Amino acid sequence: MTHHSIDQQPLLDVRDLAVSYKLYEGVLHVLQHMDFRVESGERVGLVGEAGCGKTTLLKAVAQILPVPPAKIEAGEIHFKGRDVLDNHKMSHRLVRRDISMILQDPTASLNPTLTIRTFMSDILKNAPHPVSKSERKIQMMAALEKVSMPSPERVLGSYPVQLSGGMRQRVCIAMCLLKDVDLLLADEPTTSLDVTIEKQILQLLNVLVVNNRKSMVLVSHALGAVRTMTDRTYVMYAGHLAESGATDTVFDSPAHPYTIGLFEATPKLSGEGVSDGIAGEIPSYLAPPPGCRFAPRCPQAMAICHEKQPVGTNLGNNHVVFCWLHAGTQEGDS
Amino acid sequence: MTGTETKTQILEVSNLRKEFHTRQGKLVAVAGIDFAIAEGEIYGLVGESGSGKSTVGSMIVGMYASNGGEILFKGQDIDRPAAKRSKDLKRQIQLVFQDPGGSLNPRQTIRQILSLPLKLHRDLRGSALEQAVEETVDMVGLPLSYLEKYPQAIGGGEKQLVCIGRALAPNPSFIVLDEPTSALDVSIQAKISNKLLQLQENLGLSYLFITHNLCLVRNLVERTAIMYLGQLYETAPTEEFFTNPLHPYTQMLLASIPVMSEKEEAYKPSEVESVGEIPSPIHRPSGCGFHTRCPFCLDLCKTEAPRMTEVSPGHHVSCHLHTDSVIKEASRCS
Repeated sequence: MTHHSIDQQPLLDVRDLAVSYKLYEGVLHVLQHMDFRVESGERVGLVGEAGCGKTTLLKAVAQILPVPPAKIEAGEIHFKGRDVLDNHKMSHRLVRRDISMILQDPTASLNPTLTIRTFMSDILKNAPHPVSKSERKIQMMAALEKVSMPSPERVLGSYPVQLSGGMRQRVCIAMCLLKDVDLLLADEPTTSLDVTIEKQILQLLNVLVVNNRKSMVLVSHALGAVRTMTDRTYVMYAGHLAESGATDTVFDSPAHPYTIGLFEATPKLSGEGVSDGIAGEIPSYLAPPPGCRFAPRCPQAMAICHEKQPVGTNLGNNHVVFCWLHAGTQEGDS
Repeated sequence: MTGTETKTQILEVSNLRKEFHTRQGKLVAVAGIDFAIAEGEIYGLVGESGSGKSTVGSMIVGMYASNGGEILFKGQDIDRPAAKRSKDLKRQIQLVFQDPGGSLNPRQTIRQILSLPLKLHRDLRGSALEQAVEETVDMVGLPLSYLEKYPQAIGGGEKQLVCIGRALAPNPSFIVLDEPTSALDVSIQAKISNKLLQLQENLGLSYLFITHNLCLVRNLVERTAIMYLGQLYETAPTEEFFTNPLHPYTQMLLASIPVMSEKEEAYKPSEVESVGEIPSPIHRPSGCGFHTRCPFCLDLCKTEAPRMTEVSPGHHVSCHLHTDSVIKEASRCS
C-alpha cells in the first residue's frame, strides 16, 4: 500500500474483521479476514451477490449488528483514528454522530405511525447544538429541497405510506443530510426502486457526496451504478474479499475468476447473448470450504485452492486479488 | 409486419382492458392494449412497477377475466377465468412466478410438486408417472436425488428450475414468465435464462417474458414491447428497439440503465433526462399518460391520447411526435 502515506489516516479502516452468527443450526462464519478502507472524500463500492456479507460489514461499521446472534470474533474497526470496537461511550457517540446508513427498503426503515416531520425534527432535537422550532422547520425544508422533493411542505405532514418508494428514499437521504455525517453507508439504496427513479436517486446521492466532500460506501447489485459512482471497488464472495482496486481497473480488467464470472453473467445492453453464469450456489456458512470459498464453483480451481485460503496479491496500483492463480505475480511489496 | 405475419400467431390480444375497484376509486390497470405473439417466439413485455404488465400475464393464464377486449389463443377466444376454460386449454398455457420460494409448497417434496401437474393434465399414474417426473427433473437439469428434497433444502436458482419444471410438465405450448429471474443473483439469473432459451428451442415453446430488466430483454427476446400506465407505447423487433428507440419514455428508460462498460454506454440515448415518477393508475393523466414526465410534451399531448402507428416494418410507436399530421401541425404552429 504505497499511495497513501502513514500520516494521512483513512477515515475508516477495517482490519482483519471476522463476524459470526450463532444460530440454532450452529455457528455461521460469515465475515473472515475482512480488510476494508475508506479515505476521506472517497466513494467506495462494495459488490457481491446476496448473502456474501456486505450488509454484515456495513452493520458492523455502523455498530448496529444484532449482538447476539452476531458476534465480532476478531479484528479492529478504526474510524477517524479511533478503534470504535472498544465499547467506550465516546466511540458510540462518534459512530452515531458521523456515520449514517441508508437501507435498501425505505418502507421498512420508516416507522409507519409517525409523520416525516417527527422523524426529521427528532434528529435536530438530538443534535449536539439544538435549535429553535422555527429554525428546525427551515432546516427540514432545506434538506427536503436539496433532495429535490416535490412539495416539501406537504411531505413534512405526511405519513410514509402516503409517499411513493422513491419519495421515501429521498426522505431517508434528507435525514442523513440533516445529520451532516462524514460517512454515508448506502446499502442497496435503489434496489426496491424502478430504473428511472433509481437513476434520479443515484445522481442525487452522488451530487450530495461530491459537493459536500463526504465519503460514501455504496453497496449495490447494480454493477453499472458502482462503476459510474465510485472511486474504488471491493468485490466480496461468501464473506471473503475476492478483489479490490480502483473501480476502473476492477471493471476493465477483473482478475479474480469470481469477478470475471459475475461480470460475464450480467446481461449487457450491447446484446452479447446470455452467458452460462457460474455453476453451483454460494456455500453454506455452517461448514464453509476450508480453502478458497469460491473453489467449489471456480472453473480454474487447483489443488491448493481447496486446501488453503488465498492471500492478497497486489497486481500493481493497489489492485489486490485474493486468488492462488495470481499468487506468483506479485508486483512490488504490498 | 412482413416477417411476423407469415408465421401463425399463437396468441393475439386486442384492446384488452382491466379495471379494479379500490376504495380510492377505479384503478385502470390495463387500458386497452394490442399485441400478438407468433408461434415459437419469445415476446418481451417491459415496464416499471405499476405499469400493468403482470395483470396482462394474469389475464392470459386466466387468473381473472378482462373488462373488455379479446384474448385469442390459437384463434380461439380464451378471455375467461381458468375455472371456465377447458382442461386442454389450461394444460397449454402455463405460468412461472417471480418468487420461487413463495410459489412452492414447503410441505411437499419436489417429487410431489412435479407429480401433480402430470396427474392432472396427462393422467399419468404409477410407473409412468414416476418416469415422467424423472424426465421433467432431467429436462431442467437437476439431479434425480433432488426429488426427495423439500424446497427449503435447495437454493433459489434450483427452486426456480423446479418451478420451470412444474410449468413444463403438462407439455404446454405457451408459458407466461412473470419476472422469472428478478429474485435471483446475477450468476444464477444467467443460468436460468440460458435454460429457458434452451428449452424454448428444444420444445418449440412460445414465451411471454414479463420483466423490468431491459438488459435481460435485449439478450433474450425477439420482440420487445414497452408498457406504461396500462398502455403499450412502443413495440419493435428487439434489435431495432434498442438501436433506434423512438418513444421518449423508451429513451428515458434506456438512458437510466447503469451499465458496465463504455461499449454499452454507446447504446444509451443521452439527451433524455429522467424526471418525475409514474402517476397513480387511479388518477390517470389526460391525453397521453406519459405527458407529465415527457421532455418533448406538446399541448396536444395533454388533451388527446396518441394512437399506435407503424413507423417502419414491425416498429410501432404511440406518440404524437411520430405521427405525420402532428409533426406538420407543430411546425405550422411554431
